[in-house]
Parts: sequence; structure tokens; C-alpha cells
Amino acid sequence: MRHTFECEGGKRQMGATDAEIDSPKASKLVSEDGMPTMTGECANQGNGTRTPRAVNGQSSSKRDNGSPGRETHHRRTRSRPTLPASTGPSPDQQSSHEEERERSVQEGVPGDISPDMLYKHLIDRFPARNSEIKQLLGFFGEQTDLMLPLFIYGGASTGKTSIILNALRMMNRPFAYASCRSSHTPRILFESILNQLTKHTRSSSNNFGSSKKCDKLSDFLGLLCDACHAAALEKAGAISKGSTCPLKKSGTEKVDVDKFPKPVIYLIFDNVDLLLDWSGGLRLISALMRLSEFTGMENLGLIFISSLGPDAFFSGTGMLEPIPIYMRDYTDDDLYQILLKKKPKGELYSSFLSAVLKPFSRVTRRVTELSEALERLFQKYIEPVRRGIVKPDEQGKRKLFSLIQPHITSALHQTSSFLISAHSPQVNVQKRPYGDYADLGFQLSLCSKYLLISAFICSRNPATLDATLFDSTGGRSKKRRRSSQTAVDKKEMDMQEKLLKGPGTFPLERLLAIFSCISADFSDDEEEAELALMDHCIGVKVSSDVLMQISTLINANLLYKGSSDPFEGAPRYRCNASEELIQMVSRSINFPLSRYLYRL
Amino acid sequence: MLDDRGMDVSSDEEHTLSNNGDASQACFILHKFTKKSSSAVEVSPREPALSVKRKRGGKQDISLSSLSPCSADEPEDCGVWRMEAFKCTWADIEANIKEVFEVLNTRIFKEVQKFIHDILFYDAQLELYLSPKNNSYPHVHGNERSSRRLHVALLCLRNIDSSDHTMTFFKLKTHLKKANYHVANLLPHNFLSKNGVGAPLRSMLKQIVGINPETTDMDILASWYRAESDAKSPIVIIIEDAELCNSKVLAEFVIILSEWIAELPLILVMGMATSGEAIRKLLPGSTTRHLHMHNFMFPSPDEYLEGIIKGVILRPFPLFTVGHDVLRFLLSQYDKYDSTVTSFIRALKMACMEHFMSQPLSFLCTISLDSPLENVDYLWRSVSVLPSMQSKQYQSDRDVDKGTVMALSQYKEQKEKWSSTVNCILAAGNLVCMDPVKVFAEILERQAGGIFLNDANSSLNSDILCNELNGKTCLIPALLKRLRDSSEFTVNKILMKWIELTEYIPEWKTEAQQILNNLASESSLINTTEFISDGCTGSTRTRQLATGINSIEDERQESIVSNGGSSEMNVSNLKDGQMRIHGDAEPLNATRLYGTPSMQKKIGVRMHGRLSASLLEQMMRKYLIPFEKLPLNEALCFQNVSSIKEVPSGAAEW
Repeated sequence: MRHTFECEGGKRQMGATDAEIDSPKASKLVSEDGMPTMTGECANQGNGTRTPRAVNGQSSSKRDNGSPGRETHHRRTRSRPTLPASTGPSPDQQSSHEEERERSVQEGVPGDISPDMLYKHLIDRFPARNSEIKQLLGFFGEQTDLMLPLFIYGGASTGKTSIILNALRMMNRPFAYASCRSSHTPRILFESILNQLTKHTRSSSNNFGSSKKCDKLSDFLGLLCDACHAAALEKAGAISKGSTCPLKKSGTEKVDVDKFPKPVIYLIFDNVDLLLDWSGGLRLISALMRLSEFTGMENLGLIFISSLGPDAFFSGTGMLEPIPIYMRDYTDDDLYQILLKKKPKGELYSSFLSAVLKPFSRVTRRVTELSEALERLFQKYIEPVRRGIVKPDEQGKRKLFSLIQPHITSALHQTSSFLISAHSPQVNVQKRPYGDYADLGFQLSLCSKYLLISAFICSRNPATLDATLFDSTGGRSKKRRRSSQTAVDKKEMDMQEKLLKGPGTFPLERLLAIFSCISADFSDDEEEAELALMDHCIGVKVSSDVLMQISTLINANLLYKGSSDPFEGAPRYRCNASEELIQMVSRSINFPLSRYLYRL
Repeated sequence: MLDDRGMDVSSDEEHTLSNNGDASQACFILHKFTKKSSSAVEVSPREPALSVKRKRGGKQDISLSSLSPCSADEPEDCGVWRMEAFKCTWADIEANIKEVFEVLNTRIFKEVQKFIHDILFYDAQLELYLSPKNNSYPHVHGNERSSRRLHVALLCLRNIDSSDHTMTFFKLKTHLKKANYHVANLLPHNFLSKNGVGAPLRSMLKQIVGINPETTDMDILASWYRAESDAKSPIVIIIEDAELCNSKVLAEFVIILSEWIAELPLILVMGMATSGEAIRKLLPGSTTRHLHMHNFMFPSPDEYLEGIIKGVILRPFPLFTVGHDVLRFLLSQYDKYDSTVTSFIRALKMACMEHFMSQPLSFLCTISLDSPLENVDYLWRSVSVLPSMQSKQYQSDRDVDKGTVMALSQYKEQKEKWSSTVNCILAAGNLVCMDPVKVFAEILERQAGGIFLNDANSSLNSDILCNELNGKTCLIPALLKRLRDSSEFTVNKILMKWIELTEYIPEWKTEAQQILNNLASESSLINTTEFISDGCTGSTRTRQLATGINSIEDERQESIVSNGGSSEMNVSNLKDGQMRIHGDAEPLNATRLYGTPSMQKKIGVRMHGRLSASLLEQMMRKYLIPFEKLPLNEALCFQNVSSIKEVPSGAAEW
């Protein structure tokens, strides 16, 4: 099967079969030596005043080669790239570019960004992404180069979205970006794209509404054509204004867009993996992939960004697979370079990183998380140097490492969890070192404490053991068997199974029965007796207060209430509280919890 | 309870304390029903005392100008007076409760406001740092901001039942709005799984932008913010009771917000019933890594209750008093079942209502007897038959009048002194780190058992430090012991506090002032001695102090022998001892024992600690008299525990 693209000159053959359009092959098609296929003349300007979601099509672009006839619409026939892969621009060239850029920034006029500058800037900004950036720039090509849909995937914090947006903004390409997270319904997704393409501004005058109401995909296809046409017209107009366009008729500003090559409009769909959870999400993805086909617009550059690989979307669906680009996770060396880049003159930081980065990179490879976690540890690392105890020489570094070693484990734990900065608790805790909140952090009534302990016992103990533990007459003493190897093995298996299963569920009746037992046992003092005379319920009678406390515990997520079983007709409960919390609770009321817990 | 509460607080205009108004209506209805069914007395719905007005919404509102008569011969005016007295008393109590809540909450509100302000300042600095001047490409610097995390202030309510905080978040919203912040308040019912993330977003847009949007696109908020002239103000989104929200919807909402922090100064405030750590269970790790969390702790329920005890129960005015048994019952309910101050307040209101409904002379709480009254015959007749007034023989109405006025002033005076004494005990307990609620509960318990009465053989013995009451370790003896052993700083602070709190007991004020003066003068003297001498020989003053202590110890031993084991060390004994300190001394013994200046200081302070403890003990014996023993207590003090027991606890049941 061959893919065809409708151009103004009729159908042009892509010249690549489905089998050929896999990632390495496709990149080969674009540039045989892996170089980005951008011409040096491609002019891209930045506009600092733009909003991030606006279509980038305002600025003028200089084209030395102004003839559209020379400009091809097809990537395969593009001229050889002029971007050097390994060698950057000469210092003189660089300085002149920088001067020019500075000037343009100061004057508010967008300046030209040469491809080598663009490439250099991108790899400078996103280290360890050289090959991916090259590949992407190759696919983007020039403004009018058509593009097959791209599917960029990889883990979180690997630069998928940032690289795409940065590249497109710097190249001054018209694009619309929609995140399927923020645009959580199809309507918001469609309207967001259309608003950006038509440059619609929400304001109080239009009641902060969209440019067009677009609920269905069919409406979207129709409206997208118009919006893209308008955007392309504007961009083409901008191009023609900036160049000596032969189609520009004297005396009129009108541009014959049909004859002028259409610039590609990029549509970026981020977090497309979330679409899988939408009802009809897979169909929507399939439709979005084939937007060019449905709308008949060949100048649509579709980019899909996902954290899941293409297999999650296209496996066995028969859909046309876009070109996948994988953003791999950063290696340890990459992370080292990236983190070191943040502290350019940190010799100590370098030795610190080489000492501690490896264990941390096993926990997380996200640069943001790592830099936060390491920064805290680094402050401890350099503290002896600040105090003047250790000199920052080779011997001192060894000493520093030995000093920091005990802190590494705790810092690792903090990386895997999260930190909560405390603002006011010190004042309160210092003021009131008594009460439950000194241990638990919050207050529980006596009844809630007994209920929580009862629930924990219910979740931990098998129901068959209740009679033995709580009924002095009902428990049958079993004959103790001699432990054989099989019995020991079985016990271990049971223990493992129990650990895997987690806390068990129980009915309300069992919870209340155990509550009655333990609260009666431990509220026999005089005060309780007196209170019992007063309200006749503590420890014995389960009143509405107790039931209300159960619902309060459920609301606080300390107890979990499952859905009711259709056969039994009663919901089952489970204790969500950790053993540490229960231990603290039982300590606060002097309850001998260990006596009631069944240990395997 | 919270499910219902969740529905209750759907309207922003509702108020926790104003909700208590329903309680009195319930009480009226219950009383009416009881009377109808039990005594079979026909209470006509057209009775002028009970007028039922229908509101437009069909909701019934019972407005009363008079309470139903307690007895058949009670004049109608008395019902009006009782109603007026109830309204006046409860208005006073309610105002005080509101003040307590406001004082405690405003502190946290200010902290949250400061935190938001600081975050805003930090962001502004960051933006300045990452300004286009320093960036090669100005139009791409947005990504630096997008790598930031969403700041979340976790407000820990410190009680699994958040009934006490139904209005807190609304007040926080008002507080932040005053600071010109854009605030939206979201409730748990906005985060239902069936409505998805659209519901909280819609509610947020409605509150902030002020429109009913067609779609729930965050771009609406961004556009509005860009158009807003007051662009520097942050957008604060408050989520009440986050633990009650559907975690999936909440996680989605949080991630959407975190996607927009590059363009909007968003700050999230989440109310957590238990602790900040609970968010670990609530949200998945993929969501929490977008958040930067900051913990704020609200006062615990005990702190609110302490405020109410000090601001309402221990206030000498109004004269209406809740009896010790009733208070003990309410405190035990709080401790054992509910742990919410809301229930305590509601029960207090019911107690107040019950009192004015059932006691014919309850209007004496507020009414002035100086002005001429109608139906005085009934009044004097009723007063003279009160058990607490029967001990006095009244010959005429004039005598009754006089006796009543006297009894009222005596009751008022005793209440003032009782309040001052309890306040002083709580202040001392607070300074030596004792739970004021527990100390107060023990005072009530001891008072109920008559332990504070001036009985030489009472169990409040300073020497039995580990005294047990009903099988529990007591706090009062422990407090006295700690007071005796306190440092100079603590003793000084306690005495200063006592002087401040004892405006109704001049004699205590004088005593405390005297001890404080002695402490100050001796402290300065010893400091001077320490400065002059090298600490080897010991000064005359030290010897005097040491002798004083010895003599006190001797006296104490004698006292133990004479009282059969229970030492009665009162202030007069100590005064004598103190006087002897200034007299002759035995220099040799003292110099050997208390030679160094630091030791001298310790001895001096310890002696003053002892004096303070003895003073407190004496005051407890003198002024902690149960109200039930005072004349006119039937009219002024609510003692009916059984009636208040019928009142169910818990907000939803009311």
C-alpha cells in the first residue's frame, strides 16, 4: 500500500510502504546520515509577546530563495541539510548571531534563527537529547514540508512536550496545542484547537465562550478546515509579506494561496494516553490520526505525545501507525551532566554527585525530583566546609563523603515519598505537649479508639479465633500438634498469603461484638461504673453514638466500607489504619493490643 | 454525620453556630409534644405564646415571645420574663463562643495568608530571575515555570469529625478575599465520581469568574485572569474536607491545576481531618509529585473546648450556671463519644433552654429586682418555698425580698470567686504543662465529691502526691507538687497571672503580690550576694533562708504527727516560718548545707513555690464550693442531668 497526499498539483506518491515507515527507516528517508533536513535559509522568528497557546504565525520570514516553484512540498525531495551535526558554528559566527539576536530582542523585532543555532540551542537546553532533537528537526523540515503523524512517547519528565513546543516556537511554526488532561472532554479539546487556530480571545464581551460551539467530531472536521485555511492564509500572507513573493500583486495585499505552497499547521495532542479512559476514546484517537485524510488537508502536521507506547493504541486495531519517536530515560551520565549544568562552578557538587547520584538514580530518574532531593543533601554535605571544619581538598572530600553517608538512606526515603513543609505545628506542639495529638497528630474520642482497635483486631485475626480470645467459656482448646516440617512450611505460606492479601474484611456485627468485649473489659473502673449508671450504655450497649463514630471513622478513611454483598445483604468493613497508628492509639488508653493479636 | 453535614454546608451562607438555633426549636417542639402526651393538657395551636409563622419557602419557623407556664398558677408575665432571660443569656454565651472561635481561627488564617503572600513573592522573584533579559530566547522561558510544583497548604483540622469546622473554610475565604485574593471554595460533593472533574472546575469558574460557563475549560480562567486588572492577586482554591472527596476526581483536578501553574498563580488549600500524611493514602504518587505541600495545624478540639470553658463557663456573667454534674456529663460525652465542640455547644444550649423552660424563677438570672415588678406575690411565694431558702425564716414579703436580693448577690459573689479560683488553677496547670480540660474535669469531680470543703480530713493532701481519685491518678495534687518544685521563672509567671486573674478576690491578690515582691527582692539580694561573695562562706541571708526551710520542715513533721498523717500546711504556718526566717538562725548548719549562691537561690525559690502552692490550696478549699449548696441555686443553676441525657449527641441528630 502506498500513501498518497493530495497537493495542489494532484496526488503525489509518498513512495514509502507501511513497512518502511517505522522509526529508523523513516528517519533514513528523511536524512540518510541522520542529519536534520533543514535548509539554512529557513527563517524562524520568535515573538516574545505571544501567549503560549496562540498560533505562531505573526512574524515575517525571510526567504532567500523566494521562488515557490523551487520549494518542494515533499520531504524526500528536500535539499541536503546544511546543519552540521557535530561541529557547531565558529565563534565568530556565533557571536554575530548572538549580537543579532540580542539586537532583535531589544528592538522587539524577531530575528532569524539559523538551523545550527536552533539545534545548538535545543541541545544546550535539553542535554542528552541530541539524537531525538535531530530526528525531530528532520521530520519538521521546512515550513511547507508535509509531515506524517508523529507519535512521541516516553516516561514522565523526559522532555517530550518541552522539546516539541520549544522547537516549534523557535522555528515560528503555526501550531495548536491541546493537552487531553486539561481538555478533559472532546468538546473542550476541539474548541481549544479551534480557538487557537482562529486566534479567538475569550473575554467578558463574549462571556468567555469559544469561537464556535463544537460538540461532535463531524462538526470539528468541518470547522477545522476553515480554521486551518485561515491560519494558513495568514501564515502565507506573513511569508509573502516578508519575502519578495512573485504572487503579490501590485496595489493589492491579496495573496493567491492556492498557488502559494501552504505552510504546515501543526496540531499537538498531549497526554493522548488519557483518551483511552474516555468513552469512545480509541475511536477518537483513530479519527485524530486520520485528520488529514478526513479533512482533505495535506498540510496538517499531527503530533501525538503519550507516556504509553504505540502498542497500547495501535496493536491489533488496524489503524495507520504514526512515526514513533521514543524519548528514552536519562542514564546516570546524562543525569550527572544535567545536574552539574545547574551548578556550573561547583567542583564540590561534582564530587558530591559522583558519590551519591547512583543510589538516587535507582529511586527516581526525574531531574526535578532528583535536584530537589540532592539539594537538601548537598546542604548537609557542604556544612562542614562552611563551618571551616573540613577543607575542600581531596582528603577533605573523602571526609565529607564519610560524614554524609549516614544521611543518604534517610534522604533516599524522602525522595521516594514527599516532603511536607511544616508551618505552624511547632507552636502548637510546644504549647501543648499533652493529649493525643502529641502522638497521633489528631484527636479521637475514647469510643473511636476502641472501635479502631476492634476493627484492627477484626482485620488481622481470623474470625474463628474470636471465641477463644473474647469468650472465656466458648473457646475450645485444641490439642497442640507437634510441629513438623510440613506444618512449618504451611505456616510460612500462610504468612506470605496473609501479607499479600492485606487486612481482611469483616461484617459490622463482628466489629460491634469485639467492641463490646474490649470496652467492657477495660472500662470497669469506678468512673465507668458511674457513667454506666448515668447513661447505661458504655461498654455494654451499642448506642447510636457508637454507630455514628463508625461512620465518622469511615469518612476519615480509617475504616473502609465495602459495597454490600447481594447474597448477604450487609456491607463488609476493613481497617485502613496502619499498625503504628493502632499501636499509638492502644498505648494512649493502655490497651494490651498484643494480647489480642493473632500472630502466625 | 458528615454526609449530612456535607449537604448542610452546600450553601455558603450557613453558619455553624447559627445552626444551633434549630436546637432550641426542636426543644420547644419536644416540650410541647411531651406535655400534650403526658399531662394531656390541651395546648392550642392558637395559643398566643406559640405562634407559628409560615415562610415563603414553606419552611416553618417558630418564633416565641413567651414560654409556656411551668405551673398552673404561674402568671403569663413570668413566661415572658423567662423567655427574655433565655434570649439574653444565650446571646451572651453565643457571642463569647464566637469570639473564642474567631480568636483561635484568625491566627491560622493569618498564617495561611502570609504563606500565600510569601509564595507569591517567591514566584515574582523567580520570574525576575528567569526574565527574558537573562534568557537567550524570551518566548520559550515558560517551561522553567511549568517545571514548578503546585503549592498546597494542608490545613489539618486535628479531629476525625470535622463538624467544628463547617464554617471555618467559609471564614477563611472571607479573610482571604479581604486581602484581595481570588478565592473559590469547593466542597466534597463537588468531587463525586459520577460528575467527574467537570463539577469542581465549573464550581471554581462560577465562583471566581462569576459566570456560568458552557464548558469547563481552564482557558476561561486564564483568559479572565489576563483581562483582570488586579493581575497580581493569586487564585486560591480551597477544598474542604479533602478526605471525603472522590480520590480519582480529586487527583485529576489537582493535575489539571498543576498544568496551569505556568500561566496562573494558583494555590491550593486542602482541609484534612486527620493529618497531612493522610494525603499519601488519598492521592496517587503520580499526583503528589506535582505538589509541594505545606502543613498548617488548626487548634485541637481540646484547645477550642478550653477556650469555651474559660470564655463561657468560667465567666462570672451571666448568673445562669450549669451544674457540676451536668458539666461532668457533657465533658464525659465529649471525651468518650464525640470529641466535637459543636456537640458540646449544642448540649450547652439545650441545658440553657431546659433550665428556662422548667424553672419558674429562672428569670432571676437576668432580671433586676431594683425596679418595681408585677406579680411580686407569686415571686415571693415561689422564692420562699425553694428548698435552699427554707433554712431562713421569713416573716414577711419584705424579708423575702431582702433575702432574695442578698441571696442573689451572694450567688454572684461566689460565682466570681469560683471562676477566679478555677481560672487560677488552670493558669497554673497551663504553665506546668497540664491539660486544662482534664484539670477542669477533675475540679468538677472533686467539687461534686465535696473534697474541697474545709475539712481537715479531706483527701486533698499536699503530702500524698500520688493521690488517686476513683482509681485514677489525680492532677490537682500533682499540680501542687509541681508548683512547689517550680523554677523561679515559672513561679514568677504564675504569680503574675494570678494577680491578673484575682480581681474578685482582693485577699488572694494581696497574698500573691506579697509573695511576688518577696521573690523579686530575694532574687535580687541573692544575685547581689552571688556577685559579691565567692560562694564559699555563705551569706547571712542564706543562713536565714535555710533556717526558715528547716523550721518549716519541722513544723510539717509536727503537723503530720498531730493530724494523724495528713499534713495541714496552711499559709499562716508558712507565714510564721517566713517571719522566723528573718529572725535568729543557726548559722553553722545552714552554711554547711546551702553554701553556694545557686543553692541559696534554689532554696529561696522553692520556699516561694511552697507558699504559692499553699495559697492555691487554701483558696481551693475556701472558694470551690458547689453551686448546689448556695441559696437560690434552683433558680440559677441547671442541675437536671437526666433531662440533658435525653439529648442525643452528634450534629446530625440535632
